[in-house]
Amino acid sequence: MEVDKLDKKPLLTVRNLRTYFYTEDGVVKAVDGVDFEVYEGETLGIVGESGSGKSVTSLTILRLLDPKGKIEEGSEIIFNGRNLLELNDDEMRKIRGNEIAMIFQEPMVALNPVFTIGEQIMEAILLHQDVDKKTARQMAIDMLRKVGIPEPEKRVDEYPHELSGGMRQRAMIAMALSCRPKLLIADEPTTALDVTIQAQILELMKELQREYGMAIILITHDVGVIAENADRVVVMYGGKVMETADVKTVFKKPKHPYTWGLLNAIPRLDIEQDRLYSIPGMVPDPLHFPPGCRFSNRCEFKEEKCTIEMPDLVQVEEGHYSRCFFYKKVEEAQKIAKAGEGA
Amino acid sequence: MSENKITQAVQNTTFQNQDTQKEVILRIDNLVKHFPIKAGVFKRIVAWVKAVDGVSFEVYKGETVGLVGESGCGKTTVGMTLLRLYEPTSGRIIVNGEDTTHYFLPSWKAKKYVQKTYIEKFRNSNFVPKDDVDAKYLKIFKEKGEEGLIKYLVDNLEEKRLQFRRDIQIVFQDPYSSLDPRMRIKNILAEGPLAHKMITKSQAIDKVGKALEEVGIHPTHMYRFPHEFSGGQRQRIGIARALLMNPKLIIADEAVAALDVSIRSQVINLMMDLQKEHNLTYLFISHDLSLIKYISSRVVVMYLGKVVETARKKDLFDEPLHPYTKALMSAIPVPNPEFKKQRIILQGDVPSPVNPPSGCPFHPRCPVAQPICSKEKPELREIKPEHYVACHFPGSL
Repeated sequence: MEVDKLDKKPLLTVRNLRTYFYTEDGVVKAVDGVDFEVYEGETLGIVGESGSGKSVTSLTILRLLDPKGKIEEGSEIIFNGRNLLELNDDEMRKIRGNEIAMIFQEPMVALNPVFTIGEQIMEAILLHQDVDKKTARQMAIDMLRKVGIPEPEKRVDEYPHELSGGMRQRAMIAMALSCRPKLLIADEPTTALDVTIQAQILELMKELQREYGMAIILITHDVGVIAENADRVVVMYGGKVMETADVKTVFKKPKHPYTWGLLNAIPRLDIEQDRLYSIPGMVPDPLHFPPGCRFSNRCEFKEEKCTIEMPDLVQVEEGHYSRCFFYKKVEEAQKIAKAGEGA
Repeated sequence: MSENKITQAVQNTTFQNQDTQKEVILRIDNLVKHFPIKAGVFKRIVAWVKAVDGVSFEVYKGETVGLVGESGCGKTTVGMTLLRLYEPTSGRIIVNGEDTTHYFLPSWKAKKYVQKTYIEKFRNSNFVPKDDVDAKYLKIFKEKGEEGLIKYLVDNLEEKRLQFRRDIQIVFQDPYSSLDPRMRIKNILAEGPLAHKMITKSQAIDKVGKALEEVGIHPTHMYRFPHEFSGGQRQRIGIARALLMNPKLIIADEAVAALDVSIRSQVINLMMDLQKEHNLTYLFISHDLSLIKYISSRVVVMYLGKVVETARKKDLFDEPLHPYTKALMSAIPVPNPEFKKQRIILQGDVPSPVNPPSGCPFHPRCPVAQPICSKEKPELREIKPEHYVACHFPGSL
């Protein structure tokens, strides 16, 4: 789905989002100045490794942080024209699960083991919609059928442990979509599943997106999943957005050393690879980021400037933003690699 | 019936491989591992989980065999059983041309195994050996008699066990639980070689330091504890621990699955460099077909306790012949938005290994299944040179 930015207005705008955790060891700046938009009906992929702040970002949008986490002054999350950070708890509860829904990585943990699937879906429906129990139950059954669960009349009365991993994730999706949200946040929705089941779930999400026209934020560490499912991509590292552009551009012409390294570090089925690129060093501890650019201690293209000053996220092409002083070097490296591939 | 056929097919391969003069480090011959399900007050066995149900493959010296499949296909059980962390239900595990299946049994059971597996066969004077191990043991049987063969196979079991433990090492998936949190790295690494008297205490520091250096960890860090290292570093320590034993075969069970992408490629590259340097042999167990494609020289694809396809890497990825392999490949997301691939979405879940489907285990999910597939078990057949497929209609998807 191509998204024409001129026509569409953003459904969700995140501006200068900063979520800090005040721990005994110090302040963990898990999300530190994140900006992005989600347009209606599109899929925004957020990709990053552990500790990049991608999950905290999603939890912040729904205000589901644990008490140690604080959303700093100056952060803005504008959803449908309202700043979610200014809403009180009651107003937020009306949005959560209704206009913005979320599905999690581990459906066994996210579903309540002592209630049936049906009861859990009905809970969301009864909370947000003005219907009686009987109608809600029928809606739950219809929803289960929609997500491809066989014999939904029977399954509606089953408990989560009676379903397989893939079926549980389908039930989660049914629950999330039961109120027809405008935005679905999917945090690693298929990481715990086998690849053949992953393919089923991702296909299902695409179909339902087409039908309902909702926007999806797809959070994952798997760049393959991003490539096949996202319209636009946000690459996060160390609590900051490193690069963002539409999916084709990010994969074809990455303009940040981290994105470039990440794309070259994964084994791929579509091409022959002699040797994988490896990004040197380790994922940094969020308590001790290096000075200057947070990627500078692992970057092959760094210069002195990078260790002193944090680069801004600047537009390098139409709709393509990169947080790197020397993004031109990445272009060069990419050209050399492409030439090598051709030869 | 068909199991016998499979065995035969595999045995035929063995002879062929001898022609090409590849040194077989490991041969798994019709390996079966069933776990009992117990229920009730008396813990009666009510059913069996057929985790591994007749698996055969070989690993040659210096190569990497990728064992791939989804969760529940039995790939980890194969690894655990061949390490004898589980005793196999039946089948043989041959290491370096010697049957090691009975090594970890008490000696009376070991004798019983030898009687059943070899001597009963050899008593039949018309017996023709089907593989090199049979031939070797038949020779001993003929020269030294029954007692001689039992003596050859069952004597000094303790020593044989130690040898086996040195020869086969494993690198585990979870680097957080595979290192003892209360031991210093030096002691973790020196424990094996010291126990096997491969080094003396005074050599330990030197040897451990060298091994650490090889895996890219500063030797001065040997006095640290595991918690002081990151996941990638711990996995490197796990590799160093395996290396120190000079193993003939290293089993890597999802060795990089728990690592972040940027760290994963470091560890994969390290393992491949070490392989070149020391001519190591790997059995790489993973669910990740892209990784298997990158690292392996040959691939074994498992589904529901059975091998469905095995081939050299290039053959398998250029032309997968089993519908399951093909579907698995198409399910893997490719990090290239412009790459157009054939999308095959399998319906349903992997069936339970307690009641596997009749006939071909894949038939309920197979897009090209025919009536015969639910009735008859397809045997593993050689369709192309060194390309084995267990399917009635190979290449039809």
